[in-house]
Formats: sequence, C-alpha cells, structure tokens
Amino acid sequence: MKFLVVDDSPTMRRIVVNALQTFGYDQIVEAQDGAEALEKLKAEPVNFVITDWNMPNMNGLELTKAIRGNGPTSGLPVLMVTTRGLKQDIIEALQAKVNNYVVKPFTPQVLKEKIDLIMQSMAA
Amino acid sequence: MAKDRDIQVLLTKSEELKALFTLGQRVIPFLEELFIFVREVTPALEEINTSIQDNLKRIPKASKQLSKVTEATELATNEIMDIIDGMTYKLNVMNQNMKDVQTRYYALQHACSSVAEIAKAGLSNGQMGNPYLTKIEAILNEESSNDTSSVLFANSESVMESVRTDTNNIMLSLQVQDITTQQIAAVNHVIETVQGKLNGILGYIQNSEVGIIVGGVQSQPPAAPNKYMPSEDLQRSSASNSSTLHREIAFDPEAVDSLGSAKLDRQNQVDDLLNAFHSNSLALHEADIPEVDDAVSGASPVEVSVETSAAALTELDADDPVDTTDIDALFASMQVSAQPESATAIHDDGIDPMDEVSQDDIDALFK
Repeated sequence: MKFLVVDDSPTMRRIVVNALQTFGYDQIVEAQDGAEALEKLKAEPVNFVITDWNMPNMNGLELTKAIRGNGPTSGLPVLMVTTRGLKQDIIEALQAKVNNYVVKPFTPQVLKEKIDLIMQSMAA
Repeated sequence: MAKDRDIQVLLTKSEELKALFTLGQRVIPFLEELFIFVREVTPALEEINTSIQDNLKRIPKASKQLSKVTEATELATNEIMDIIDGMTYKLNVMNQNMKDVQTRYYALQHACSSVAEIAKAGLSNGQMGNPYLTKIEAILNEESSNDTSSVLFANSESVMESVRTDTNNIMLSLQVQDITTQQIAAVNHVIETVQGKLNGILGYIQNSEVGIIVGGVQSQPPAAPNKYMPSEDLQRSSASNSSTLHREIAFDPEAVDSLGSAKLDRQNQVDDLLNAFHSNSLALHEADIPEVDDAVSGASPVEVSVETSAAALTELDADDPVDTTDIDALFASMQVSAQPESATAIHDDGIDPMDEVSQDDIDALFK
C-alpha cells in the first residue's frame, strides 16, 4: 500500500508520514504541492492520496479534480486534510469528489478511522 | 452720431472694468486664504510624503522579520520532531530490551523451578535433612512467593506505552506550527497589500502637481522594491491566497479558528450544525443524500462533467509545468457543470454555507 502525502508544510508532511508509519504503512511518497503530486503520480503508482487544501501552484482541490479527471487515476482514494472547516469548503470538496475530509488539527485516531473507512468502501 | 456710439462703448467698457474690479476685490480675500492654506498644507503634505516613504521603508523589514519568525519556528519544530523521532527510537530499543530481559527472566525462573524440583526430589529420596537442599528449597520457595516481576514488567510496558503516546501527542501538537505559519502568511499578505497601496499613493503624489507643491518630492527616489514582495507577487498572492515568506506559503485566513478555545467552539458549533443539517436535509432532500454518499464513498460518481478536465489533463506533458490559467479554466468548466443536486440541497437547507463545521459534521456528510 503506497501513500502519497501532499502538503506544502514540511511539518505537516512529517506529521502525516509519522502517523502513517505508526499505523504500519511504510511506503510513502511526498509532494509539496498539487503540481508535484501529479508528477509523482505519473512517475510511480500510488494507492492512496492524502492532500492538504491550501498549497501554492496547485491546491488540493485542484489536485483532486485533476486526479478524478484523469483516466488512470480517477478511482484513486483521496483524503483531504485541511484547516478549512467552512461548510462551503466541505461542499466544494464533495463536488470535487474527495473520499473523505479531516480538519486540522487532527488526532491519529481520526486519521486512521478515515483511512480505514475509505479502504473499506473501496474494497466493497 | 459716431461720437455718441463711442461714448456708449466707453461707458460699457468702464462698467465691465468696474465689475472686474469689484470681482477682484471679492476674490482677493479668497486668494489670500488659498495662499495661506497652501502654505499650511505644504508641510502637512511633506509630512505625509515622508511618513509614507518611512513606512514603505519599514514594510520590507516587517516582512523580513515575519519571514525569520516562520523560518525559525519551522526549524525549531523540525528539531523537536528530530528529538521525538530519537525518543521513539530509544523507546523501541528499551521495549525490545525489556522483552529480552523478560524472556531471560522467565528462562531463569524456569531453571530455578527445576532446581527446586530437584531439591524437593532429593529431600524426599533419602536426602531428608540435607542442609544444602533444605536451604535451596527455602530460598526458592521464598522467591516464588514474593514474585512481583510480572507486575513490574506489565507496569514498565504500560509506562513505555504512555511515553510513546505522549511523544505521538507532542508530534501532533506541532500541527500548531503549520496553522500559525498560515496566520503569519495571512498577515504578511495584508502588509504586502498595504505596501502596494502606499506605493501607488506615493507614485501618484510624485507624478502629480502636488509633487511640485511639496518641495523635494521630485528629487526623492522611488521606494525600494521589497524583495519579499515584488509587485508581480502581490497580484499573484491575491489570486492564489499565498504569501512569500521564507518560502511561498498558501494560507487559510480562517486557520486561527482551528486553535485554542476557538477549536472547542468550532466543535460545538459543528455539533449543533450537524444536528440541524441532519434533521433538515435528510427530511427535505432524501433523494439527494444517496448521491452525496455515493459520491464521497466512490461507489458511484455524481453526474459531473469531467470530460473537459480529463482532456485538459491528458494534454499535460510530464515536462510541462501545470499552468494556473489552464487549471482555472479546467475547474471553471467543472464548477459550471459539476453541480450535483445534493450540493444544491446542502445550500438550500437554511444553513449559512459560511458557517464552520466540525469533524462530526464532516463525518456525517461522508457516511
């Protein structure tokens, strides 16, 4: 199971990576914005994307839409992890077809729960 | 006849001259006041000009200081994370050592039990009264009756697990660095915008006749550009909600609400909102909810026109940087067509879309 963690903040990337390692996932690729994430997705297969929303160059919402709009990656699970907590934001994320949504600051339990939920729904 | 006409013209002209003098008499006080006003306003304009220039000089310094703050906090956070990683590694080593000690202890305990059995067997088979065997049996019996090692091992494991949880919590608490950095970036963005406006005002003063009135303005060099905020960046920042500090930082202006007591308020507000949303939306828009559920679970996509975006994405070459304009166009087309009924339903539930929602609310949306 390979994860792609996308966040412009090195701190947040490290926190998410650390949490994933605690959950037992050790194949993790990192990108600092949506554009770099798309390059990574083209370069190597990834099973799960965890992305921030607010990023320069290409934000997480745009990345999600690009993933959904691209045949080979359209079914990729995308979990949005962001400080954005307005209802309008959630609606936009739904429209972009993210699989789930976590607000920062998060607890590892919430992150694990969301990942498991997405995996269960993908397996079903 | 001609003389009469000449006299008439002369009289008319003299009347006009009289009117002119009368007007002059009335205008002179006004002109005097105007001169006084200009005399008084000139130092004020000079002061404004100096003030703008001084403030413009300070703004790059403010941006630089903010940049240093974000860089320092990011560096410090990284160092804390390194220490936490070190602690986690040491905990893992301690945990493994503890397990090894436990294994060795149980092996030793097993050996002692065997020795006790041998002593017992010896005492009951012709060695009764042997002082050595009696002593060995007594020692082993005493040790086995006071064995608290299993409790100690369990306690130690519990303490190590607790320390591990603490380190994980410290790591997670460091999310605050990202949130505060976003806030600083938002403040820097405001400073940059103000700088742009002041630059504009200064440029206007320099290029207008006010500059001539205010002595010395013409000779002032234009304000030095802020290397932290070139004018092109300001325009881009406005569009992308990002600000350049020690690196380009995209920010959520509302990120501060994620911290402190606001976080708890947000959670409470979300709980209330979630209840309201469920009671209204589920009752009013039953047909729409499954669409949202399917969309977020990935089971069956909402009818969203993505052909345009797919075509646009496939046109992207691996070597081509992703163009913001392309993306804007790409998502503009999606936003026009990608309006699932369920999303509209969410808008129609009587809840302000600008309200904040909690993780619980979000969970409900994604169930």
